[in-house]
Amino acid sequence: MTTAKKADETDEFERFEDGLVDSILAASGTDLRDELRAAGEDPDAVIRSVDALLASAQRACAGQRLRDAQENVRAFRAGARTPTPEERTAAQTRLDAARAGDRTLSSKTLLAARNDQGATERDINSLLDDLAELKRLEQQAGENDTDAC
Amino acid sequence: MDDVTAAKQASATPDTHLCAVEVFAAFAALSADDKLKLDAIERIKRWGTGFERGQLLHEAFCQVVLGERRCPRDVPLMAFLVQTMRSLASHERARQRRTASMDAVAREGSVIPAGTAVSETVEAGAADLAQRLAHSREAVEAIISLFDGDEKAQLVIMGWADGCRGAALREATGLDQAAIDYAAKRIRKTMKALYPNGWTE
Repeated sequence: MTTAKKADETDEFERFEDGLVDSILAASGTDLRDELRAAGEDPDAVIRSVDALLASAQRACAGQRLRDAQENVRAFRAGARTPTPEERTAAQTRLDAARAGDRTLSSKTLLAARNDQGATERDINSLLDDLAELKRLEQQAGENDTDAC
Repeated sequence: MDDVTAAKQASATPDTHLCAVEVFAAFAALSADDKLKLDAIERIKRWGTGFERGQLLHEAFCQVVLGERRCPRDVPLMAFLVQTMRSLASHERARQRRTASMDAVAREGSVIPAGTAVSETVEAGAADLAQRLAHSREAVEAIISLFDGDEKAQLVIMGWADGCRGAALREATGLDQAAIDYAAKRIRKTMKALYPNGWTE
């Protein structure tokens, strides 16, 4: 008998077992059903049990993915920081420049303005924070691009 | 690598692995025959793992969906899932063997000599056939002896145990594929009758 490789006794049994697994993969559904019936089992009941198991696993995975996403959001928020005064000043300059170029900017972009109330101070502060964060990300991306070169 | 760079790279190269949604869809498309095969394979592979019935398949499914083991697009999901079960079972068996060895050391106050099968170290009362099957050449010989009078089945078992498949198995046994398939069917049927839930019960 050809021996694929020198192996210990455990390997020998596991290779036999894998041969059995491969033969199951290659078997026809008819044969597998016959074998189950010969062992006193109902193939349809086996299929239903696998369906139930996969459905249960699917629910478990959906729950885990949701928890992972929630954890990512928490981690992102924990990593977010308040812009420094310098960053906020730079963002204000950037916003002013944008407004100078488009005087309807506020009414286009801010929810409060859609109600003809103008932008609230909180809206402006939130926008400044976002601009500061954007600037930081752009700088990080620039640094990484430079590193890559 | 930061998030921005990772996102750039991800968008620049097509994903070579299935995403969770695609895995879900592929599972939904499994045929009834595929499910019978998964069940039969799980019963065999969960031996010695400590997994209860269904848990090995459940764990394999979850690892593939959650991306802990990523299925390449060019590999059929069914094959990947079976390979994942094999891998999980192998790791868990190794862990169980290490635990058994440590228990034996604690009990006997000595180190198990290298190469000693775990079955030799367990208490005599627990040395039932299922445990003996797992860790010794005797296991394969015991299986071969179940097929006294069926030389073709014995040749196929020996070939599998030597790691032969396909053409190598045909060459090693001197049988054609039809004879091998028929012998494999007899082997499965006999093993199923003796061990309906794998080697565990």
